[in-house]
Order: sequence, then structure tokens, then C-alpha cells
Amino acid sequence: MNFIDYLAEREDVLSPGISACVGCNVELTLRTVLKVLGANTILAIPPGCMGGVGVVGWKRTTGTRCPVFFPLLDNTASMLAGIRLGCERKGREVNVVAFAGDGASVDCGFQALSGAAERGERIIYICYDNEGYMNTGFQRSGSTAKGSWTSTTPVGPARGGKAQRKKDFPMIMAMHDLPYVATASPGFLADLVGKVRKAAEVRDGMAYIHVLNPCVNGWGFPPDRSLEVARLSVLTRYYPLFEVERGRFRLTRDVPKPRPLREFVGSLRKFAHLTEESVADMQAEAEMRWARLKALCGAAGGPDEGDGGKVGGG
Amino acid sequence: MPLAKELRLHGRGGQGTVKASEIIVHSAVRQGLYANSIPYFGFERRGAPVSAFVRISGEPIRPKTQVYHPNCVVVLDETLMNAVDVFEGMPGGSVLVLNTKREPSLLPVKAGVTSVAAVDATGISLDVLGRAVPNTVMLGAFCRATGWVVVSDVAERAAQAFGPSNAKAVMRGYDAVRTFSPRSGGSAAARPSEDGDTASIDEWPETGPHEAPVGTELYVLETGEWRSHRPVWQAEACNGCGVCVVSCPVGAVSFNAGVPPRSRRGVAVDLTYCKGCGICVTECPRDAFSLVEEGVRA
Repeated sequence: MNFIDYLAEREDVLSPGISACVGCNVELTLRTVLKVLGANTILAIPPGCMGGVGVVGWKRTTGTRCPVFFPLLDNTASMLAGIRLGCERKGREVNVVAFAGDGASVDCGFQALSGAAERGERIIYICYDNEGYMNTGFQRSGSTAKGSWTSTTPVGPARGGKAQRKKDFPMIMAMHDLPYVATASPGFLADLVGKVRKAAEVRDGMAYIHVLNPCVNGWGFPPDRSLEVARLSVLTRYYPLFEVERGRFRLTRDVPKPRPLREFVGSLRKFAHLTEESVADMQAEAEMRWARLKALCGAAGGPDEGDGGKVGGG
Repeated sequence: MPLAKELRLHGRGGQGTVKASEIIVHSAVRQGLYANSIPYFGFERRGAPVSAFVRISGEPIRPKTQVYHPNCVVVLDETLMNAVDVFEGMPGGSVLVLNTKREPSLLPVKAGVTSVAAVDATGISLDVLGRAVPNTVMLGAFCRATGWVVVSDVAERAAQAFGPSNAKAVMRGYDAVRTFSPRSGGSAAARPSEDGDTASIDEWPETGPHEAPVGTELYVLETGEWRSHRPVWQAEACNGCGVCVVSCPVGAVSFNAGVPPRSRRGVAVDLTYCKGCGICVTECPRDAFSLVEEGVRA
């Protein structure tokens, strides 16, 4: 069975009418993740876009057909660790899942996340990285790319957007030596589905999936291009798709002939002010990170070509 | 002391509704008046109904609340009238400024409105700016319909905020207004309750500690109301691959009911929830979808 038939047959656990922005690919990501995991799931969604759009509920309703908690920005992973413990006491086998933005993962929630990862808490932690605090008006985060316009890194004669580089956060999580770490993209849904299924099979610790979600309004592109921009981030090597299974690094989507980074950068209003020089800098950084990843893939001896996209061997 | 003028703007996230309210305030202050603007507090999603409030007065303004009884309502997107009661709380003698291609005399207005000003702001903004961002055109129409602020100040401020072509958009809106005075106008609309929250805590169902848990009902908005454009599917072009089914963020595209996915005879779009993002149009490998402008219902 291919992934389209698989997804079409799965129950849609997410409400059809949540107030995510028009063309939001985080909504698609959450919908797809929940289709794979099913309703036997306990979710925690901290403040952020997906908390704000009604998924965590409003007036005694919830946006999902499974229990969903609304933890604080900085304690999602700790809270879920407690929920897992409670479920174990009760003898209940269930997916315990975080769906948190980059702010709640790479910045405010990092101590809780890193601690839970190190303790080996059995949580599926999914970070939707839209490179900023988009729900509150596009403020910069530790995951915002260098050079990005945000409302707190303005562009003008004195400044040209964010001055610091984006944290390579999936790599930081990989260095916790978790049972499973992966990057994914809404532009490569088959790959995403395969990775969520693998994450759900982990029994002895945390599974972490990092998803890069281009933000229609915060990054500045037309809503209908939502998935196209996500694909460009991968095809330019800006955002490599890989997974780490028990220390073995593997590219799930090799990009032997990358498209010029200019194609990705040029399609986004947040980078409209960048000079050719700055784009070349970004390109160099992307290549450095790609080379580091390739070296790790080689060092671990894992095969480069993957079937990460296939579901059920079909 | 009653305020001189109160104003409510209705638009969709991304149309510049809040920015338009700020431009009115800047222009009023420049004329020596007092003014304030308040965006509706909530999540301002692109495409979602949004509103903003403005007060203009010759005296200092104390209230900082939302406007509940607007003397003028500006509607930046006509399709909003399917979803939102734009006439809510309008007292007698009010002005409605509407973005529409229709004749103002044919518009369904409610009591309280004594003057209707219509302008095809979407058409003008496409012509002047090359994009369907109607806010500055509507500012011009608002100046003409009310005379509360000076149009040249508004045009200048719009140019500072968005570039010189927007000053042109303001003036085009000013010139293109068609007005109509409904004869039945003048009687005040019913004043709504002012507590804002329609479901008071007393109406919540009583649940004891051992009864059904909170949150057993699904939170569902009819997000189809946000849509300005609608996807249209052409059966002849479709090969039933299902890329649209898995790519729709809303989950509004499905294989036709009753047909097992494998036989794939076609797809259906649930317009109750489709927000009109156009991802199905872009992703379809066979161009089986196109977007058409959403008309006004009823």
C-alpha cells in the first residue's frame, strides 16, 4: 500500500475546523502525524500556533479526538514524563506525544526536553519549527535563520535581520544518543509518515522528530506554495532529511545535485533584503552542515539511500 | 460625554484591516483631533475574519474598549457578510462602506444604516497595486463617505506606510465611491448584550467529579466561511492519484464517498471547512484544480 492509500484510510483525529492560517503546513503536519498515531494518543501542545488555533480546546471542547493537554511553554517534556508514568501505573499502553513549536523546544522548553531525553522518558516529541514565535507576531527564536527579518530583528539602515545563526537543533538532540531522532518536512509526506511510524515503535526512551514548517505569513510567501517552499528547503540542502537510529546516521533523502540556495531564499519575503554576499554566506553554512552530516552518516556506516518514504513495505 | 465618532472595520487577516485603522488615527491626529484604534483581541489568522475599532473626537478619549455601537462600519471583504453580522450594534444614522462590485441600492442593509457607500476596492487594488489588498482603496472610500478625516492626509500616510502607489489607491477609492441612502434607514438596531461572551458560566453543563470528563465534544469552526476563493475540480483531468487528499491542510479533500480508495474514481472537497488556500491547485500533478473567486451567498 502506498502512503496515500494508507493516509486516506486512517481516521482523522484532528478537528476539520481549526483556525490555523490559510495554507498552514503545520496543520497538515499535525493532521498527518495524528492519522499515523491514531486516537490512542495523549497529546501535549504548549503555547504556540497549534495551541492558539483551538487544538487544545475552548469552552469544554477539544480540537482532537484524543486527550490533549496545554502545558506551559517551558515544561512540555516534564509534564509528559509524568503522564507516561501515570499511564504505566494504570497499565495503559498509549502514545504520549508532544507537538511543540521551536520556541517551546529549542528555547524556553529546552531544559525540560533535554532532561527528559537524558532520563530516557518514553515520549514521542515532535517539534514544528517555523523559525520563530509566529503565533504572537513573528518574533525571533533560537531557530530563526541568520539574516531573517522578524518583528524583533528588523531590517533597515542599521540592521539587516537576525545577526546570529540558526541552532542546528536536530543535531543537538541526536547528541543525546536517543533511540530515534529524525528530521522531516511537510513537503515529503511519505518520509514523514515513515518516521512517525518508527517513532511510535520506540519502547526504551525518547523519539524526537524535527519538522521544518515554512510559515506563510511570518516568512512571506503565497499560501498555495506552502508545500513547495518546504520541498525547496530540502532540495537546496538548507534542511537535510535524515534519521539517527541508535547512533546510526542515515540520509533519508540524498540531495546529490542541490538546487541553488537562492531559489529557496528568493521565494521568501523575510529574506528579500539579503545581498548576494549574504546568500553566499548562507550557502556556505548549509554546505558546512551538510558535509558534517555526511561525515556522520559515513562514520556510522549506515547506508545512504533510504526507503524512509515507503510505508508498510509497499 | 458621548464620543464624536466610533468606527468598526471588518476584514480578513492579510487585507491590512488593522493597519487601515492606524492610518485613520494618524490622519485624525494630524488634523488636531484625538483618536485611538484597537484591534480585536484574538488570533489574527490570514484569511480569518478580523476586526478593528477606531474612535475620533475633538476631546481627549477615555474609553479604550472595543466599539459596540459604530457610527460607521467599513467592510473590506464582501464575503464576510456570509459569516459575520457586520451591522451589529449600529445606531440610527450610520454609514456602511462596503467593498463590492454590486450597486449600493441592491445591497441588503439592516436598520440603522442611512447611507451606503460602495466601491470595487478589490478591482481597483488589482489595477493600481497588482494585488488584491483593498485596505487603502477602502480608506479613500471611507473619507468620501464620512468626511471625518481629510483624504490627502490619509493618502500621504498610506504612501509612508506602503509606498507611493497606495496614495493613488486611496484617491482612486475616493473618486470611485457610489452612494445610496436607504429610505427605511434611521431606526436604531437592537442593542446587543455587552458582556461579549455569549456562553456565560451559568450555562455550562453541571458535571460532578465522577461524571463525563471535560472536553468530550469536538472543537469545530466552519472555516469555509474564511474563503475568498474556491477550488473547482475537473473530473476529466484527474487520474485519482490522491496527492490533493493528503496535501490538504484542512483534510477537506477526500476520495469520493463510497468508492474504495484503491479504485480512485475522483475526489470531493468539503467546502464547509476548505479555507481556499490553493495547495490542491499547486500540488496537483495534472492541473485538475483551479481557484475561482467566491461569490456572495444570498
